[in-house]
Amino acid sequence: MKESRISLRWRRPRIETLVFPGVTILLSCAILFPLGFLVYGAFSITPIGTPNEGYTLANLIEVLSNPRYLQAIGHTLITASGSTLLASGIGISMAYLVARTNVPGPRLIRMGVMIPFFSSPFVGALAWSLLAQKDVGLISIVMSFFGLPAINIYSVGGIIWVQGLFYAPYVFIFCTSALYNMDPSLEEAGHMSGLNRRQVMTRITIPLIAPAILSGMLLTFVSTAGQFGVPAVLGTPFNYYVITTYIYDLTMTYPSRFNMASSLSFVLFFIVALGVWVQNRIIQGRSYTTLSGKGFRPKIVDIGGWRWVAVGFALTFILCSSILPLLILGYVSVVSLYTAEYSWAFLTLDNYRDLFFGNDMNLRAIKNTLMLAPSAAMLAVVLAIVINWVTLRTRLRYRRVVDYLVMIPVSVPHVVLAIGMLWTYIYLPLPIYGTLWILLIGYVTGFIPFAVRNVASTFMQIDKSLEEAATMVGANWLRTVREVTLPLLKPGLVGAWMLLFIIYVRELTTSIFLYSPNSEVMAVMIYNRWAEGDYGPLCAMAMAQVFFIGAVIFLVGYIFKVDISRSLAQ
Amino acid sequence: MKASKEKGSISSPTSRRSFLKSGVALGLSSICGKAATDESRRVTLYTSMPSKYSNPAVKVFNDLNTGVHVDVFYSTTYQVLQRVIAELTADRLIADIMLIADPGPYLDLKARGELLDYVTPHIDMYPPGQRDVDGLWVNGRTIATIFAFNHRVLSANDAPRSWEEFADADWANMLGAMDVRQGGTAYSWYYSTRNHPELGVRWWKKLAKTNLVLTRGHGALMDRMVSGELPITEQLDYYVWEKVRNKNAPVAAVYPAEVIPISLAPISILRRGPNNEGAKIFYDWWLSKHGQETIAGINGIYSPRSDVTPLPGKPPFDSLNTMDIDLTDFSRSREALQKEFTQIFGL
Repeated sequence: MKESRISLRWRRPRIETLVFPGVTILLSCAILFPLGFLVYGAFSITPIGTPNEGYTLANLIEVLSNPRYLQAIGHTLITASGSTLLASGIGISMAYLVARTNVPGPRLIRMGVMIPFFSSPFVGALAWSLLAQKDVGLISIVMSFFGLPAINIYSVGGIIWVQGLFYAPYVFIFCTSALYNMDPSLEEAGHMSGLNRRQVMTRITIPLIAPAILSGMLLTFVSTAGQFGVPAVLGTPFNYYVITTYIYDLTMTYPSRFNMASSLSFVLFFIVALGVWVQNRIIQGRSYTTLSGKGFRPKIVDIGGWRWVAVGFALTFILCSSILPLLILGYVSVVSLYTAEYSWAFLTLDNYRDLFFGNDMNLRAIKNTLMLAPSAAMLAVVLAIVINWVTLRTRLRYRRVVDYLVMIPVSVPHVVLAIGMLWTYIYLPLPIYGTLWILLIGYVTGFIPFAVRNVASTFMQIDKSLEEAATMVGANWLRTVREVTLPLLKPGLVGAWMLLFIIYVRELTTSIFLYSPNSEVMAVMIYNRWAEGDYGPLCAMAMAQVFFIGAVIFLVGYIFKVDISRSLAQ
Repeated sequence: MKASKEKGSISSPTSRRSFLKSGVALGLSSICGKAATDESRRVTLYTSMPSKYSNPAVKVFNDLNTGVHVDVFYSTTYQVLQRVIAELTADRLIADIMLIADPGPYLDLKARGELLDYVTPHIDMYPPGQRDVDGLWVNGRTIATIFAFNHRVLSANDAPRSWEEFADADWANMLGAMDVRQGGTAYSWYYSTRNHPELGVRWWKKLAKTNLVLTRGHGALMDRMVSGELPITEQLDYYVWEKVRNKNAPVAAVYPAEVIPISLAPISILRRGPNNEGAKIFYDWWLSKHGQETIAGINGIYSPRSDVTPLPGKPPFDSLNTMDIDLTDFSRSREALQKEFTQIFGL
């Protein structure tokens, strides 16, 4: 009798039993529906939206047999590999110098290396296309003054150069994180066992940070293979097509060849998926336990006179990746018309006046960006906390599926994902299409892997027993998260939010496919100014973008007392 | 004392929480706030007309206080078209009016019954070649394709004067043009010159040997011409005219004698658009004398209306050697000609 009374009593469901499956289902829909359109497009005889007339492999066969597509695939592999190698060379050496040597001004160098991250590779490509203009660009003038051959920025080397410079911070972030968190006692043990400095480096340090380096390199490879802006600015003018520019052209010609574009994006998907698989194979069996986040003070290596060579190297990188591009963008933004002549007489603030007072659309784009980027970053971080809880703290049966699911957007070029999202939300009978919501959802969906990975790295540093203790004394899930997990995660979460905020302010590909009247954002305005041939307003907007990112980083760093360059490297 | 200072500081926990809360509230309320706008007054124009021209033109209309407010969505010709097609397919049209520089899609949309059966009262001011036979679309802008050169790099005496000279080997590595597959005006250039009895495919093959730089739009070409990096480029006449008038750009236009390819940029109301009645008011204004004078003045284009005063500094439209285009053939030949172009340039 007593037993039956207990079983009949209604028990309020625990909040996590609703939140975990709820978030999983929502994310599954947000990620898989757009991909569904892609798969359908790749195998359907008829374009999306027209009556289905059956399925075919012809598109995929065409993509894999037509020399033009194969060439684009080859170009993608060349530029992505080249950029990854350059970015890794710069990123790894900078990370080592900053984290483990007595190079002067490591904090300044760390900030300097991060600056390219504040502006998009697309804007970087535009800046470099101005700097290295044939005969008239600043670099060309300096090169010819010293009797050196001119640089042709519209070349494979040019694409690799710009992508390498602008993705170096990615590798740098991953490597500094690993180097800061590495237990120095392992290296000390090496020294005590009679190994010299080089042997310690090759046998202990490098193997220990290899997984982090590989993750950084993989992220760079994936991102550069999916890059659209740089090859569009620097490759198309000499008829050099990579997969993304080809996909864009296939969808943006009339009549559009979306089915072919979908098939081609499948190839990119496989290239990237292969990269992820290779990384997993290499990392398999290696332990991350040295990344304990206990705040070790790593041993600093004295590099003697090489310190100044290192400073020179760092300054050259900062000059090429930040100072020169910002100088040229800044100059073009304060002249009425850029004619490759440099004079104080040309200076004017007209472009800025037009940006802030002359055009409603510009102001709206700034407002939308400053609203969307923080909101989307916040939402992505919240989702990342829930997802990481599911995958790292529970034994739910679907946790492995969630783990794979949230990584899918890494493998899909954003050009393709954006087209899939456009079709998804046009068909979805909710007031999302044509509003800012579609951009918010697009941003969160496209970059959820970044949020999850970034939050995961801090999650792994918290001892599970603290949360378990809270649960044991009766706290429910929400209270445990609020009172134990979040305070411990705070620096990492601020870093993750910041990373996403920066990405969203710069984000171009998703925005350009999903924006509508009244939902313009800054990156779209920059792209449109480029398409319209208006360097002045373009550069003013790009400078404003860099300014806003810098200001928010400073402000948030001040309010939350977080060293951003360090917390990004979590 | 210390406590009160802490409380007032922006980095205190209380302030941080309220900072976060207000930030989130502001973000969400602004995103949601979009739905509150008065939909009955709103008309949406989807256009490939560069926003630096379409925005001021639309602002003139909005300032007339007709009771209709026009919002603009600008993108490249085919991106606008893809968006319209996607919205039509899903039966979720946001666009009321479409204005892109390619008449081909209007023929398709009319055949599919997607254009509103509405004839503007200004229809008689537009000659037959400038409008649909049933008046469902009308040419809203006339765009001429020419070429231009940087006169700081080349003197007028040295510069090419005809399409034939434009393609001369002397200009190898100095020429730029828009990719024919990327837009209506570029395709119109290809169509007109390729079908020209003196130029034809021969001329295009000759041009391909100059290492011509192909770009996605005329804007990037203009920038590179102004800076002298690419001294001679195929251009749209209004781009050159406007850059010289507003920015005193060091470029000069050449109107080649053989042929001036003309592109129509039709305007029409989409039948399934949300606000047909509002759209009619804007559509009629665009095609009115006041509308056309405003647009010509801002955009530097030739107006298809005969009663609009030509702009100073441009040759009269009648003096241009244009070619009559059969729009049906123009539309049908597209895929074959695009393929021919890619073969000539090895793309």
